[in-house]
Amino acid sequence: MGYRLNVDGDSKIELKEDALTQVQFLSVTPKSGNARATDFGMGVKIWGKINFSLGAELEDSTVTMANWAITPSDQAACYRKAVLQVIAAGQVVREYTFPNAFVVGYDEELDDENGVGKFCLHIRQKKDLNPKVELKGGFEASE
Amino acid sequence: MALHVDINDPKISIEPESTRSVELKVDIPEDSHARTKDVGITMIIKGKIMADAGEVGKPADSTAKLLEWSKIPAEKKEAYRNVVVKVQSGAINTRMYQLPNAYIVDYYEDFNDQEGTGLFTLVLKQMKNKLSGVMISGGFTD
Repeated sequence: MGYRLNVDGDSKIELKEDALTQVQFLSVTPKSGNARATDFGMGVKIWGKINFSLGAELEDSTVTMANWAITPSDQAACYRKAVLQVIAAGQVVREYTFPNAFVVGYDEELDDENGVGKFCLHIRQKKDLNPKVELKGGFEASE
Repeated sequence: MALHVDINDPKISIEPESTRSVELKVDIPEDSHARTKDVGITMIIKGKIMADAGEVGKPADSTAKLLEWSKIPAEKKEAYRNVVVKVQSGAINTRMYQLPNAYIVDYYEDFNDQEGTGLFTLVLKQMKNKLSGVMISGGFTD
């Protein structure tokens, strides 16, 4: 099972099967509610590896991702369109589209034991624009 | 993979033999409706506290200087320092982090009777009104 992440913007973020290791879709409301709450957040958490490119030939998308995470809230660039695909057996099992995603949390760790680093990105759709989130799946994957 | 930790004004260089891992965390409040200004940028550096078997009285690493930094009170200028961390692998700089106004949130030193070396944990944060000074780069050669 492979995962592909595409984030639009001035500097695109493209991460594929070789980097991404785990994804989680979250649709969460406050735990203390008495009934279904209007206040709900939709997003994904994505885990992956920080692969360095031998000879620095390829651009490292994770650097762009880390810089997205520190973009201040007063700039338009902190909201981006993110598309995440879960692919298995030639099929797109899930395709999540967040047209106005922002970073809630970003974490990266590099150490002297694993050889490559790892990251965790948590993004969420801007809450008032939740209806724009698209959840699709069950169609043929492109190569 | 080698980690170079350089702290400036006043200077502390932690030897790559001593450093073990670096973690960078960027967080906004978990329940936010949209991107906020309340951003926290945290860096956690872990490494070994070693002894020099060759020469008695000479420290094997500069970790003791971290302990000195951790006890500097907030009133002093030296509480805030310029921290540069470089991660090098296969002659590539995978990451270079620059936190120009970092202060210590927590500093731990752990010792036990199994490891043979101690372990330090340095938790740093960039001063919140200077978040724009944080630089993250990577994928370049020296």
